[in-house]
Amino acid sequence: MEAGGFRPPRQISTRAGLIHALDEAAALEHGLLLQYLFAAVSMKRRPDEGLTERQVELLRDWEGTLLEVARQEMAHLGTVCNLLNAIGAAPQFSRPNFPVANRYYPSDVDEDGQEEHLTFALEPFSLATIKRFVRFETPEPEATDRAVAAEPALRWRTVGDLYKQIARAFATLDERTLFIGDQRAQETDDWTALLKILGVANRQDAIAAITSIIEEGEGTPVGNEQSHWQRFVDIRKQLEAEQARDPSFEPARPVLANPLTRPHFETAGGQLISDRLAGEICELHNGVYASMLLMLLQYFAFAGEQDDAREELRATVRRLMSAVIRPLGELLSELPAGPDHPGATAGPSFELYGTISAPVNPARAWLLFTERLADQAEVCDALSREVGAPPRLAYLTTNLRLAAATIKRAAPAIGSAEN
Amino acid sequence: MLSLEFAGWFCCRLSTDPDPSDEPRGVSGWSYALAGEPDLDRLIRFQDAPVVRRPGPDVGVNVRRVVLDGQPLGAHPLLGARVELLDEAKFEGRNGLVSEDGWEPMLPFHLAISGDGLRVSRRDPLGAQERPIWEIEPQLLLRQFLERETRPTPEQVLGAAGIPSANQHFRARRTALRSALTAAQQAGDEVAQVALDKRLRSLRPIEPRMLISYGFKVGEFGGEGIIDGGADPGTPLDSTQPWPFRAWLGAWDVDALCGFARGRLEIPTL
Repeated sequence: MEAGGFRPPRQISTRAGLIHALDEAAALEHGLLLQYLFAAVSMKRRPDEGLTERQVELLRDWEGTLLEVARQEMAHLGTVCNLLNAIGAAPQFSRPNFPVANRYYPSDVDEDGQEEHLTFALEPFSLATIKRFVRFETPEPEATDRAVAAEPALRWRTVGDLYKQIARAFATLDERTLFIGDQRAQETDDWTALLKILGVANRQDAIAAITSIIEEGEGTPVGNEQSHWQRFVDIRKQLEAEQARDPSFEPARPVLANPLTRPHFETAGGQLISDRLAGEICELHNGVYASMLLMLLQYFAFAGEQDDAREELRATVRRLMSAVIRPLGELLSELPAGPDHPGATAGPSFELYGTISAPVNPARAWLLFTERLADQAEVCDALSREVGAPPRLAYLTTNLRLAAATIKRAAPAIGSAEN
Repeated sequence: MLSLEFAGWFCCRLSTDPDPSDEPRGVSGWSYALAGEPDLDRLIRFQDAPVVRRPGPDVGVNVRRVVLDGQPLGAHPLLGARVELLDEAKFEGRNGLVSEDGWEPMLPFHLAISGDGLRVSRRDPLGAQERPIWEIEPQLLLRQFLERETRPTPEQVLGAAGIPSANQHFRARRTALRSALTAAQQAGDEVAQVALDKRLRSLRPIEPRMLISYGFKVGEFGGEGIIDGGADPGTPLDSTQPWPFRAWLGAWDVDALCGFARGRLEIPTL
């Protein structure tokens, strides 16, 4: 401690400090993947949107890359939840609503030497956006610090830097007392292609898992063509080349940056969608997204459900991502944002209207999931019948009804879980 | 029993996980609608593909053999007949919400075999409008399928499709695509160039292990077969008893968005 004043601790030296850092990592991964998803669904896709066939193909490649990286971030989020579980903590799916101006990458320093934060924002795909993504994943030397205490005031310049601090804690805290979590809660299956979640039982597993996350993000010291950083750099270069070749090339739809369905006290801005249909579809999207998070929480928290029920829960989460959440996000990017935003389209806001928590009793939690999905199916059905509604909504209604039916069938009986 | 044995390449322009099952162009899965092509639609087409990718197989599933009570017939109105799935049949998986990959029912299932003056057809009521799909028990949908152990080996699949070597087939496809790309470049055809370039970048070997085996009785859950046309089927056919159907769909050629179908429909005689 320096003489003359208080300085909060930086280094992770306790279980509580490690949980705090892992919570931060979970919120960070979650926030990153949503920004990548938003940029992906904002992209133009068809020649009738003012693109040549070659540009359509370029954009398809870039969108595919963003979606793939987002899936890997989902896997990282799952692995972080495994790390939390392994040390006896709860999985973490909470995060602040967008935009977030003063929380992440707090040690960044601008050209004048002033500290600044990188804003977490939902912005349509552009050169500025991809440059921001490159910055998120940039490999940099790790930070050093010296103070010691319980819950540190973390300082980090990159995602890799944060993880390296976490890895140091796993390497130094007493292994015999650190790993007290229920191993049955560990998730180790491949959810889908490029969505492999790593299990954690001990120090070696923990460090291996963190190393894997770092390497997928920023690469290895000898480079990694498939690292997120390298892939974003490649997109940036290709976009710059295409814009030099065709100055009129505009890769994204006129999607509203940081769309919102309602104001949130904690956000640093945002733009309210004023078209009624788009607003209601956006609310539906947020509702299904929250349902998925609740089910993820239930899955990772592990309340003693039977294996086949857990498998249905996991499968339904995975299915909802592809079969409902992404399609709703895509169609929002083509709907008008409303009279307050002439020429702009809406987009998925990924707002959380409350905390992500589920009942302790698993049977009641599952009942909640079933009700939510069934209600959301009815809302989707009603919206699909409105004049001007995207035809895709009818298909998504059926998907939501199928998801609700699956969860209802697999749910533990109320009586069976009363203990 | 009249047995109609059929085979041939079918077309299915479907999106693949993790793309949404109604994804129109293909982004994050391994199948794509190419430049200049219509959207993906998941329809299983045994005849009349809307797009024929060249190089690639010719689409057409036809009756190759007609067998009556164990005896192959040298001539029959249904020999060489067109086999079709009517009413816009799809592999109904919906990213696993209905069923996972490889266990996707063909819905609706309405089979028609049309030959020289004779047509037999039958529709399975399951998955049609009578009952919404989310109310159908998954076990009922799974009744369309044969057990895994009854499936043909990859060698048998490739043999049926007339592909002696999957590797050789793949290399030949790559060579043919490169030649076609060169020709498109020389012709200044940008759309073809973009499409062929995408095919080359995405090219995957033919996949004989990726197959679905169906085996069920059409009409077991209601409905009646229709036998029409003036030609003589050779023996009176029973339209009321269930018609056993067994087939596999495999040899998936994702580059051409085609697969090979082989199977038989059995129609009880009176």
